[in-house]
Amino acid sequence: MKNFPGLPAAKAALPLWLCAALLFCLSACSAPEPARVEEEFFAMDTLIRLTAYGENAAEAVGAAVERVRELARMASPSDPESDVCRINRSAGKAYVRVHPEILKMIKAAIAYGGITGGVFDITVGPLVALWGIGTENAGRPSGEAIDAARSYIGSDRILLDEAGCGVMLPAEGMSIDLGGIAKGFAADAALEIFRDFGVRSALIDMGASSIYTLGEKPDGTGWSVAVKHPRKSAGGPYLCTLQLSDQALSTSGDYERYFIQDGNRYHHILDPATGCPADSGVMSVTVIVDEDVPDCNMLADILTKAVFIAGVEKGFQMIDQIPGAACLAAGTDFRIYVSGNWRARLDRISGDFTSPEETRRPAR
Amino acid sequence: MRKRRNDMILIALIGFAAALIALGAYLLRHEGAYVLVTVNGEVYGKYALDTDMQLRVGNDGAYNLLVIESGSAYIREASCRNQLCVHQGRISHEGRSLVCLPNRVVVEIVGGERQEVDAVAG
Repeated sequence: MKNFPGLPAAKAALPLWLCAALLFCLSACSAPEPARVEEEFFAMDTLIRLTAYGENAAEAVGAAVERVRELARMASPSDPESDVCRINRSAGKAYVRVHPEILKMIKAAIAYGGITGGVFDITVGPLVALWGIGTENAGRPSGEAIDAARSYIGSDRILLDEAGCGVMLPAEGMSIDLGGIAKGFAADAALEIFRDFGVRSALIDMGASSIYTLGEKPDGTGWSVAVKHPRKSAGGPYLCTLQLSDQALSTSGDYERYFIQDGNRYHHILDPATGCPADSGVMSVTVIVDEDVPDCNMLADILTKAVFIAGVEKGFQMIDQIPGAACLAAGTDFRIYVSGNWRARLDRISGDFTSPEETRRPAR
Repeated sequence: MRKRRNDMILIALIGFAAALIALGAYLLRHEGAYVLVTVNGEVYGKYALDTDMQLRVGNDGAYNLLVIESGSAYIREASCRNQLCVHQGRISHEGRSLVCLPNRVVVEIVGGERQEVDAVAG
């Protein structure tokens, strides 16, 4: 301080302070961001995007992509050599030896078929083929054809040989479709790989219908996931956005694959009880399942379809029985409903819809 | 007061450096948005969002006619059967995308305005 005899010490140190502040700013600007690895690829009839941050991210994403592709091949409804096609071809004839993963998917589907009161059923294959929704042959079938197709439905009729990893459909004409469960299953497999590699921040996006948020973003905030507006195009507003962390999400709607005939909208989620597209008063259903629930992604996939078919009242009763699960539904009355255990933050609700708070308020 | 004057020079220099950094950050942030087109996971091309154009992606057998117009992008025509990509409408914000599954074409907005969400469900 001898150079500044007349100045108070703090004032003399001002340039030093400024230098320190500048250095701090510079270091903040150039703080190393954790490595971000992202891979996008087509599988399971959709565009899948896996993103991971931090150490091992590249290895983890590489391994997860391989695994998802492998599961997609096994569950493919179009590849004649896939386990699913082989099971369907041998319906009423013989047991088919399948990969343990396919056996696990089928077992889970049968178990949840029971829990959901039969609304979730992987044996809807004949109905799916009859309606042909999403193909050029889509059209409303006759009542007799629907009844005939319905006679092949019933996942409780699937025969399993667990020791030999065998699966058999008891009657010719029966077929299974794992489309409602395979993406969630693959997301669970990718999540397991990410965890094994020690990845703590990642996003698993299985073509928008099933999304898993691992940890938080590197900046410490939750993942922001928007839910599509069921009646507006891709560039338009969202239904709402959610803040998620360590949660599986699954969304189903009547707007992805559908056709319109005589003014009626026929979408791809079929109700096994009626043999027709579900008509339960909802346009879009989103289910969130916490990470500590086993097979959380697959469970979310199953519950979304189940609530879509069962409707808000019955569907939410089902959700309330399952710890760690919560549900948001957009009704055809343009109201947003949330189940009693919904905790996720809800932002930017579309003005076209009544918010959950208003929906809950009793009518005057 | 010579020491005092040196202080002032130092302060001015620091202020100047800070202004330069702020300017740099500002310029970097305003990197223009562009349209990234990929076919089957391979990059097909990058096109500025602020330059109107039409682009035929693919060949005669399978194509998507991409239009960039007034700062937004959309698919006007496509060879695919379901025409879902044509019905997806216009996109203009970072992170939004148009997907044609049959032709494996993805049109995505990259850069530009801050990404609004990390993923879109549904």
